[in-house]
Amino acid sequence: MKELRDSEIKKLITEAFEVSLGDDFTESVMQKIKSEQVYSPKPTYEWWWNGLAISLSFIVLLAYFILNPELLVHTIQRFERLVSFLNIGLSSGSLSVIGAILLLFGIDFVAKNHFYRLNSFFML
Amino acid sequence: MNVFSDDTYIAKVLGGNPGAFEPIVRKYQDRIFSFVIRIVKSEEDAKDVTQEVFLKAYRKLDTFNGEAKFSSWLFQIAYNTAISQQRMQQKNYRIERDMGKINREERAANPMKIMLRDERKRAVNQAIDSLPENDAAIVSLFYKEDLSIQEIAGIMQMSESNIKVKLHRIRKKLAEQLKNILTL
Repeated sequence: MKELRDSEIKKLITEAFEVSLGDDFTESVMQKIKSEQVYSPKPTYEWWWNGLAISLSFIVLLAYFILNPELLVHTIQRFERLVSFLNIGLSSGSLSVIGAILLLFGIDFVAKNHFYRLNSFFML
Repeated sequence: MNVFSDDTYIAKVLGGNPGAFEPIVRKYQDRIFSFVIRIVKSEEDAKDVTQEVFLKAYRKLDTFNGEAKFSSWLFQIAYNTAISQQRMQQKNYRIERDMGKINREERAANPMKIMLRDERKRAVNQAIDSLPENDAAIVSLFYKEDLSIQEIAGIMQMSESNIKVKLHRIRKKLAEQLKNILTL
């Protein structure tokens, strides 16, 4: 007697494994599913999240420096020291602009990836 | 047949529509049951486990990240649930299975054909039932579900080489046990 080929085993198994649970089974599963917690749709990212995140960040920074003006002076001095240490041929004004742009990108990244946490925090 | 893909129904469920899970249940219930019964070796237990699989899948649906196929993810839940059930029960039933819902007209028209088909199914089921649970699971995933070795290894959390070795042994055993069946 020749040995069975894989395709023949597959055919026999597919035939033997045929089952049909029917609609009653589906209904009983769905009954239980419907008593489970319903998922809430997650908030989707909107472009204005960036504006909100950026505005809030600047308001917080501004408020902090207004309340602590000596800290602002101290920060500027540190920044100038860093500029001379790095010996970059850019003025501190240019570096400030570059720093602000990098900060904006950073806030944008945070907003896009964590906006749903901001959403929960502000309960929007 | 489902009109939309699994991903579409999943998105609807996660969007707050639990009824959208029904097409997924309909699509996979027979396949999951057919797989699970090989492990738990009891029709009643297999139905309970199948139901439990869908409940677990629904509860964990938000953790499905789409990296693997949804069917693989579902079969992994099915395998883990069935193995847990089997270990708890430690039963070894001989599976008594309905030989298929054959209508009277079909049986009347082809009594010999139906009888031979029943006999083949009985012999195949007996051969599969004699296998350990993991081997029976591999048979179901490889021959019935047409999954690759890689997918089976992912579902059963075994190495691919381990699956290949087991499959080789299973093939030899089944080929020996079933070789007379083709004459039926």
